[in-house]
Amino acid sequence: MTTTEDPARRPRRPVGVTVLVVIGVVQGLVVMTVGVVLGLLSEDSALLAETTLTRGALLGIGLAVLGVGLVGVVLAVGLARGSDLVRSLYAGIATLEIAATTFGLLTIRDIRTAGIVGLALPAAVLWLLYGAPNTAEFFHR
Amino acid sequence: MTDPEPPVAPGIPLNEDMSEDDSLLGVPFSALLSVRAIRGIALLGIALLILLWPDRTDRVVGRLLGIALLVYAVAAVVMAVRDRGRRTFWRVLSIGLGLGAGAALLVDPADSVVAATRLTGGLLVAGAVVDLATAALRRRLDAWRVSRSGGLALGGTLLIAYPDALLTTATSVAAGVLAATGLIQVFTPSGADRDAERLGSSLLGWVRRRPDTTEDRSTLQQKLYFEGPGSAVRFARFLALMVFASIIAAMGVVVESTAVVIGAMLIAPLMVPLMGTALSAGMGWPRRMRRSLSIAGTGMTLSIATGALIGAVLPRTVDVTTNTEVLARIAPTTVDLAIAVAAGAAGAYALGRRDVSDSLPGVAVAIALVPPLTVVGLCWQQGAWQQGNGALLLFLTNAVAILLAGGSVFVLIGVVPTNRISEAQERVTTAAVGLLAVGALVVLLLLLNGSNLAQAELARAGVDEVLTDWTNEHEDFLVVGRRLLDDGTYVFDLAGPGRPPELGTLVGDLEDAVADDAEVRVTWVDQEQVTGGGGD
Repeated sequence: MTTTEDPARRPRRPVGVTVLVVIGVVQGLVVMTVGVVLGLLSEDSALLAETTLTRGALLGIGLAVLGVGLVGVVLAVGLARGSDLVRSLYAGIATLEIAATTFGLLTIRDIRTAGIVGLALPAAVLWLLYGAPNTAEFFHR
Repeated sequence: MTDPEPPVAPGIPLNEDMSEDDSLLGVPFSALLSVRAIRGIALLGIALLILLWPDRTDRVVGRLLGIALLVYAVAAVVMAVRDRGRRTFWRVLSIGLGLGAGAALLVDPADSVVAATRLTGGLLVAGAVVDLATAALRRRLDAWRVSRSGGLALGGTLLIAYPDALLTTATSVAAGVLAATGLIQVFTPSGADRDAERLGSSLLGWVRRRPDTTEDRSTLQQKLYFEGPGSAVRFARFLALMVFASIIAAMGVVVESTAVVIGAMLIAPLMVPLMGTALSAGMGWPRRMRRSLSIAGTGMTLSIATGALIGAVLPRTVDVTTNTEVLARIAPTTVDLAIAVAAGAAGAYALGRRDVSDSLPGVAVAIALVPPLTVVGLCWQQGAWQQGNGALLLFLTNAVAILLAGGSVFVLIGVVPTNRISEAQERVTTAAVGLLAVGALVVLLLLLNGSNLAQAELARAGVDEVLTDWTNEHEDFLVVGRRLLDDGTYVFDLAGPGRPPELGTLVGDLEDAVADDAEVRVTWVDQEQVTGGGGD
């Protein structure tokens, strides 16, 4: 016997999460497009001569980029469906980004202004995933 | 012939030496082997190391902090993985910040600590702006919030502008607290206070246990406040002494006699109302504080006016650019603040404890108050505003140091009981915040002044080097003068036979050496050499 979730009882997706999903899908599609373009360009002998890459290598890179984009889209869809695992993955990436930016802020003098902005973006992602209202209910259903 | 026996105080038998005491300043030697005493000695040792090598301390503390942050971050990651409930926004954010900051402090502790200090300063300034803006929007702007935000903004600005100096200061203060805690742990009987096992509470516990010196406080009040039936007479005496001290100080400055200036310091009674203000701040007595401040303000005005008057009536002018007594007082730095803090603390200690009151004249000499004020008057009278303002800054430095150090020492020696601070918490906090804000402003001005002086000194050394190199290359030419014009142009006068070579290069090098946008002008005097023949 299968049970179906009552749509009326399902918590609404927070707006912030929707924003992250849209950004994730768009980002994934863009990366996929880049992967497809790279695959198509593997036939371009002029480009191959310029980049000193072989046809197989360029095709491989294109497929890898396509895969990364696909994973991005899949993760964004997972986030839209309220997967706590995907939320953890997003948080992990944002945390690593914060750690790297903090490291750069404290050790590299020239990136301070850019670094502060770079710190704000992943912090905002974290807030949308864990700090914004109703996120806990949406991901813990 | 034998020397006569030295005189002996009556009542002390001639054959009596110190008793054989198996203790160190009242602490039995056996107690020095207790865990508490050993910990105290260790703290003293650490404090000594910090004070001896403050720059290395920064690095060691930075690395230790880095390790602690990394350990925290890793532990937080483990807990977050094991327990979903621990994955909150602040916790996850702190993991990222902890990992990044910890790694940075471990890899490059010196630069990271400075950068972290600057970032903290930026956060404080941002916090102050947000706090003030929020209060203004909600129409809840009051004096307390403005002073709090002002203090935060000022503190943040100082952290951004002078991270190195403030880190060193903070390290030194921490070393002082460690040393004090160590001494308390060594010289208080073991097991006397179980609450005092922790570092901070040990010091606070010691302060709380200070004897309530009500009798000393009563005597001190009589000394510091002009109250009761004789208040008018005391105030008149204060004014008379201020005038005398100012005249002596001004004359000492004019004739460049340090001994005369020191005489004026010993006569000047200005420390009394300032110490009165410090005691009032600690006790939460706003009316006494206002009255003490107004008496001090009157004394200040009188001293400046006396200095100006003497400058106007004396036939001998004071050259503010060469007079050594003026020059010694117009460019204060943080070193002067350190001296003033120590002297202010000593002054409060000597005033609060009857058994050491003989030290007060020394304190008066160390923390000169009237001479800088008379220099202000002498300089302003001549229109030398910059020099006068420098001397005023020195006076403010000394005054603020007396207020802050004096107030702290009054608490530490028990003149201000801690329960009184609790009772009058709001008043004491308001007074302390006000004093600290003024203190921070003075520190900022001193740091700026010190920075300007250091830059000027560097520029002077650079110019000297350029000119020496040039005259070594062109031995026929001499540098006969150097001047700084009112518009900021540096003028260098050369003399030698004919037009000197390489003037363009010299001007370029001098412009680099003065290290600002100031114009550099080089002039030369064509010297004709006449050599006498060795004839008959």
